[in-house]
Amino acid sequence: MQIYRLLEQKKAAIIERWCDLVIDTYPAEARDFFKQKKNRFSNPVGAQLHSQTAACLDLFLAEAPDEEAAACLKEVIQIRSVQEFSPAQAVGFVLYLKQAVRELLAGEIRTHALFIELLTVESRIDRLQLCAFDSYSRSRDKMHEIRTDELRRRSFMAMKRMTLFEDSEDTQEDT
Amino acid sequence: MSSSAEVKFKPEEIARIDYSPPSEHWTDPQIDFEAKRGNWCYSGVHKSLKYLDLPVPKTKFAPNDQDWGLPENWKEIILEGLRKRLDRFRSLKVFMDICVRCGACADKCHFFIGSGDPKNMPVMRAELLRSIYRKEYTTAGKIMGKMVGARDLTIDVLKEWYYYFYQCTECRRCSVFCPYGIDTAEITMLVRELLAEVGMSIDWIVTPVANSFRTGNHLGIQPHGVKDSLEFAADDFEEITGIKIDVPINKKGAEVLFIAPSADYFAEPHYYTLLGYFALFHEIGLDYTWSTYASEGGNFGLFHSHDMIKRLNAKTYAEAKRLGVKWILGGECGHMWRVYHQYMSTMQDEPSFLEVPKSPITGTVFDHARATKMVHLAEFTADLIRHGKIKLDPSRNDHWTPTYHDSCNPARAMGLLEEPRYILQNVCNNFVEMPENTIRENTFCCGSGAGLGTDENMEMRLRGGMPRGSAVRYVQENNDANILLCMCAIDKATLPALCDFWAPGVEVGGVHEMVGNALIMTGEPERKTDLRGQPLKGKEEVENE
Repeated sequence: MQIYRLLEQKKAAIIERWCDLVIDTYPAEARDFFKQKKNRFSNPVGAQLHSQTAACLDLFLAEAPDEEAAACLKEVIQIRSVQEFSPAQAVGFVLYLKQAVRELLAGEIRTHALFIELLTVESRIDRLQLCAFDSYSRSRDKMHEIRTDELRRRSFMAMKRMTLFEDSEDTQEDT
Repeated sequence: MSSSAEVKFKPEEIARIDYSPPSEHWTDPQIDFEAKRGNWCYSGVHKSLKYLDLPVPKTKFAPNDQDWGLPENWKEIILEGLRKRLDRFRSLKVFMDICVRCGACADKCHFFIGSGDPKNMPVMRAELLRSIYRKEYTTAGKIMGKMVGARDLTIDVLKEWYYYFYQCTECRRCSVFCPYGIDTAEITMLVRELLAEVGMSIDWIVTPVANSFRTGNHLGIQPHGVKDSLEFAADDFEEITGIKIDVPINKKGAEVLFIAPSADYFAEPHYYTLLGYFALFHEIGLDYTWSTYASEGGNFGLFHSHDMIKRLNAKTYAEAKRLGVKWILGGECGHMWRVYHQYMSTMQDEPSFLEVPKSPITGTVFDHARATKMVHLAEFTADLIRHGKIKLDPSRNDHWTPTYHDSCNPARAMGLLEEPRYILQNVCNNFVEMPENTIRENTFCCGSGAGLGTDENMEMRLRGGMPRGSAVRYVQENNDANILLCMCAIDKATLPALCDFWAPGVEVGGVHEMVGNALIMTGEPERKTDLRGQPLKGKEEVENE
């Protein structure tokens, strides 16, 4: 499809715009910081956002299965799942890709009448969005699991002794 | 890839000016506690507050309740408390006046890095107090108000303090970067003290403090429980290593009193470090004792108030005196070391009934511990290794590729950077470091210290722990690191959560767990497993037979 060729040409700008839109969901005072992407340790949120949206778009344009492209966003979603966002805000950033594409390809889409192709691309973005929801849900489940695991570790000794007690009761029953 | 500066000045973006004023000014505090669940901690239970003779709120409240049961004269109490502290601590006065808002600290806090919430910038967090200071104690602030960043003290300000000063782990990473040396952790401590005076404390601090005050340890384990746990662990140790050991408890006249975090004998993975202590002390024949009274290394008072530090610290020395020991050895604990190294001499006399610590094995005199008479186990063990007093087989840790997390307090408050590394290089073959800007003085906090290691604020903890998690993930992916070692009980309790979330597959352990694995003990049968009962490298088949 012609639209993929155009998207490929404007890939860098689309990623930049997409990231900017995502960063706009953070408080104004933090945006400049998140826009820096050079050090993945001093700015893990910004670095992950830039590298993962780029990886996602690469696969998307290579027409890889949507699940694979969406998997690239897993960590961005994981981060947003523990930030102060509602579930919709946390995962809704995937749809900003539509906005980036529409803004940056508006002229070409009109000139070459690529509306049908645009719809195909947007349907794929919708599927990315659904996959993102799965990732969000898994991430939240993981967090709750971690909560209970932590409680278990805190009472490790009590549990260990209880298990030993149960084991010895089993042994007695066996004999 | 274009730089951030280019991004900022793209022509189309310059043209896109947002004329709308910010919806709220930073001086207007509005915390919607209900909407921000997962980001705050529960308030202190009345039973614990009463036990400690602390101010108790008029009603039981959860932070998402409207009425926090404050006393009628809450404002007077807070302002008088602040005035007293400004008179008492010159440092606080300096910290209030000297900050030039250069922003060097702004992006150094793990909570800001993880959340992007501007009030998590250390400078902004401190401004939450400074704004009140300006209004009440500076002429400019009294006259010009908001224009010079001053604001009135209201109940919403107090609630905002509660929210943000319990989103600071007092790790002091920001202080490393402050050109004026402002210790933001001390600002947090002082605000927490002020809040406690009107009954606003969090439960994960006041209940551990009350337990420590009552039974000697934060879990509230009574003497027979401590004894029972240690003896059970000794049996377990014998099962794993084939070596029978004695665990001296409350032994009068022992040379050394050993104090470890209580989690070491109760929680996982701390427990394996406990087994490591057992191995080491047995092998070198140390004349030592545990205490069922001073049964907690961590001084939870540090998270509450200066007075509370003093109340809990006194117990350690009372016990050392009662047992008649010569000096004190401390285990793998974090914040206990900030108390000993930075605050203890401001609150009690030098314990002259104790001797300057001297290793009975190597003869090394630990002169630097002259004031406290207390030595960190890592110093003690590093000294043993340096003098060749213990036999080690590092290949017994070959199934581990450890990396080391510098726990904030031993690292930044005590400067204990080399000793743990020296030990690890001697007991492990595969030790790897995390990236430079995430270790040593620059270490990233676990995100759960200073009383925040509870479960109702898990979202906050996980995003605060993300910078640490990213570095762990990096060595996991690039160096196959599979265990994160540390010397702090809070770290051992909370890093497993962080690893499970950000670097799944990485375990958490202690330095002396590795020592215990590698230590060749006199008369030991062939060791087939590590202290966790996991088969050693090359012994897997034997285990499976």
